[in-house]
Amino acid sequence: MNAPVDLTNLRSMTDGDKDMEKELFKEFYTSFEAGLNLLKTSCTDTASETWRGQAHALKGIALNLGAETLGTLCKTAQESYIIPEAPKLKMLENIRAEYERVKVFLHKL
Amino acid sequence: MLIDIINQNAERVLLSAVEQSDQHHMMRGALHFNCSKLGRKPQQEEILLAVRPLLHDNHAAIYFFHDGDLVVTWNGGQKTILDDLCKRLYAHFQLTGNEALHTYYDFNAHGEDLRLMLRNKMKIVPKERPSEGNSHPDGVFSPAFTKDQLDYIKKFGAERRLFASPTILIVEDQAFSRTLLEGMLRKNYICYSASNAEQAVALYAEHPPCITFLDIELPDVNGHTLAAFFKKHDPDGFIVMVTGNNYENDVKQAIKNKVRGFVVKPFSKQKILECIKKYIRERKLNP
Repeated sequence: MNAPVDLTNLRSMTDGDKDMEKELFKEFYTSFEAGLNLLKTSCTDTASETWRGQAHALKGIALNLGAETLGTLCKTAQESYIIPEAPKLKMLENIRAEYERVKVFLHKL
Repeated sequence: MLIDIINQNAERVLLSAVEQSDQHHMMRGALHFNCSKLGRKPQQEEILLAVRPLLHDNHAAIYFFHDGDLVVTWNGGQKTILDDLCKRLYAHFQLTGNEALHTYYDFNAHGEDLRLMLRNKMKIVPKERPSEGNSHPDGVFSPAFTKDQLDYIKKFGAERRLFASPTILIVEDQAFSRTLLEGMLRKNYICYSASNAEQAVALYAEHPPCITFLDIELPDVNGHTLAAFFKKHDPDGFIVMVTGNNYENDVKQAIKNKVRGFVVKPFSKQKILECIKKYIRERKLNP
């Protein structure tokens, strides 16, 4: 299975600055935990703007980190925000599982 | 003549410049003016207007410290223009000159004193960070400048072209993306950052930027609306839209607002630097 994160682009932006990298990973965890909670609370509403906005925000964060699969899952969630609760919960589960993979990968660095 | 204005982390930036100067023999002296004793922080523009005529063809820098003090350096740091600079500053603040508010640091003789002064100031720099989130719970913010702010933007807008390197405003609500962009740019440029439109308008008025990287999805107003507002009041402003979406409508709207660039996330160093190079190229063509 491919690595869930490709840090090449991020490292070119940070010039390999390890402290900055740590700070960014910390921001990543904070933003994602908060974003996932908001997705959970907003999935009961069909056509929720909160769901769309949060999925959009998480997509940007994931892609900037280099977590392409996670970014793609968030993009799908953003684009299909006008769906009922059950498929949203399934999407959320997939996003959370991929986020955990990313976390494990980053912790091993 | 090029003058850099350094007003964010000025103590740290000057310390770094002094250390580089030790290696490259670029800058040999600095005039420190103790404005904090005046009881008011000087405005960038008033200092610029006061000292600029004296700096002739020198490449100079003015550092505004968090406590209101300022330091002027100019290439070579020759002492020859020092008296005139001091006279000008004392006259500007309506002082007699007996107040002894200035110190000249010759790097050969007082390099360590200068470093000590800067380190002491750095110890007491407050860690300011704009508050996160949308201060307008209803999600609506109407951008507006006061008349004074507009006058300042107009006056300062012309000065921006004299800067050796562009100043940058980052408007991005996601802390991760903002930190990433800021971290990359701060090494070489003076950066300001805002997490929402309201902060962006305040920062734009205070430090009219050479380049603005502007996210489209902001919590309190749409980025396109903000871009149109900035362009209306500051037509020379160089705005680059930043977005996680690549929607045709966004591109069309950006073109309509006459923004100068469009960057789709994920950011890359190359894409960001291309925007900055474009700005520098255009500035050279239209000085």
